[in-house]
Amino acid sequence: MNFLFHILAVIGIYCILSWGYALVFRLAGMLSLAYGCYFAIGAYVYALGVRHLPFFPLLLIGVASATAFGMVEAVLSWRLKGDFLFVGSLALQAVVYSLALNWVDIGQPPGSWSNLTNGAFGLPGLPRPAIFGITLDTESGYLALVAIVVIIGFCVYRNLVFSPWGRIVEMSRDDELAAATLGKSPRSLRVGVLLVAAGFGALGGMLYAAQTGFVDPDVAVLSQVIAILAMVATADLLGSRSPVVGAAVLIALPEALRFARLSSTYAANVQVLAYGLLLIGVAHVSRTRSARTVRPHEANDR
Amino acid sequence: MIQVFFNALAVGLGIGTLGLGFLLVYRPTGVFHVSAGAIYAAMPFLLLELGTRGAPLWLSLLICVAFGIGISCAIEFFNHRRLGIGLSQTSAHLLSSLGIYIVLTQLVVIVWGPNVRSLRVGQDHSFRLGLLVATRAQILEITIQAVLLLAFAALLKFTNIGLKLRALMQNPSEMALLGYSTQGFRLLAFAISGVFVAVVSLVNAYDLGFDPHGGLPAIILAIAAVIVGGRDSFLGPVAGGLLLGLLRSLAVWFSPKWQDCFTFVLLAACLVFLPNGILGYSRRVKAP
Repeated sequence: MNFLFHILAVIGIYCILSWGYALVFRLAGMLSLAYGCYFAIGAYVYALGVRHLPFFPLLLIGVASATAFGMVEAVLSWRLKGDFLFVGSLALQAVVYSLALNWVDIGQPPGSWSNLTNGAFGLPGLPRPAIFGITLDTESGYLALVAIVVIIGFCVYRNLVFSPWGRIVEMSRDDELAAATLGKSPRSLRVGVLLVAAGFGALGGMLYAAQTGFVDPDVAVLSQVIAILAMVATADLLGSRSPVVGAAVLIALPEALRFARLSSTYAANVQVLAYGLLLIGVAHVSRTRSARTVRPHEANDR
Repeated sequence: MIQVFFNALAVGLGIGTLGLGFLLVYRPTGVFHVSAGAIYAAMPFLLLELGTRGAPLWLSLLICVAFGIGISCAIEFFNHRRLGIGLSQTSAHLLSSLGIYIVLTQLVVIVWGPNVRSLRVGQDHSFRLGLLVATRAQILEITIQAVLLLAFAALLKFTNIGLKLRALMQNPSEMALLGYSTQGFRLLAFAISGVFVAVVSLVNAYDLGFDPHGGLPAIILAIAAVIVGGRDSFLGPVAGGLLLGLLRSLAVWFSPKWQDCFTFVLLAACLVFLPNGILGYSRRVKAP
């Protein structure tokens, strides 16, 4: 049963991450790989602060730190679009990965200023969060926390997407000139989306760190954000508006491979290969509308 | 200091040649050829495999380059051509190119394993010229890449195909209006890009070793060279590559572990403050 709770908690965490990325990729039409940076910042903030601060203030610090870093990507998105924003975001991701890997001084205690990330050794032994004096050290208790955050995250995501702001962002994605004509600044809208997504990313990263109890530079690798991109893409491919379906399918995939008795040597590679196939699939399926699904009511308008 | 410049030349020519391969595809087609990273990753493994099966070196090299051309052309023919041409398709091209990179890289890992390998057995022979110490791999690297670049420059300057390639790079729509087959020349651009990627991959693998995940970092460096150098001429990526090579060689003297960090900070700074690169032309920026 604990295993099931564990899988459900992971699906919940990736749902939060997918909603954040869906705002960037689907709503604003930006292909950015810097989303992994927010995830990594959230995870490291949790790892560094969990022994010193209560959970909710730590949550706020994590989200604020990622949003502050989001301003760097916002500067890029202010000047760049399309492929060049992709390259800029890739550069940011590489810088954050490099910091996570190299901010290390073996002689100093892990978490100190000169050995902040402890490099490739990471920061192990992270305790689960305690809320109102109750430590969530059981899988069911932790799942309950994730479920609450998922419900709040879903409400925020849904309200943003279907709010007037969300519709303007969507319009700006499809026709920037039309948005500018109506007095809306496409650049400001893009910046807003990135900052909100940074908050979602940090939230996911903190929950992930609490779940695994260990943070290392792998949280900042490119495959993390590619996995999230694949989840959003899978939902697009399956015609679903919410990326939850993608998260559930792709988290369940490795478990299915385990039951299919595929050698563990290859299971991880087959999983990543499936992500790649999904990306190719979604690019071809949605090629008529710039890598996104045409919604039924839009198709009827044509 | 001479040593730093020599190392920079060896590293920078590789990055510049890869950047040229990238630009050759990007300018006429608008395709971010990220999947070239998979060709970069696969070629040394293929050479090693052919070597263990007893194929002579010259034949193995020819087969590798032919595979590079074949995969690159197949990516254009079966993927990018089918996705269509036009600005609205750029995300789709990029997404599918990233997908192809992931699929091919994972196939390389499944077939040949994830470990770091080397094409060289034992320590490399080195030569001393006054203050300069050059390894055989570095001399080979510089010579082969310089010959490749000079051959490409000659192709562009003296042949009819080169003229058409330049026309395709400047204005593919007008070229099509004049009745030339742009699709054929697109395929040619992908083929030449495949040659560049395969050759640089093999030469770098001989010098530094190789692993299945080395493709994307190499292509990102190539993109950085294109952006830093400027994407308006074929000289841009080479100049950008040499500059990045110098920066990375200087970073080694400061602290090798921050090499990538310096490179990507420079890339991000160039994207924001010098978007046309050092050899690019200033042009009017479209209003958002």
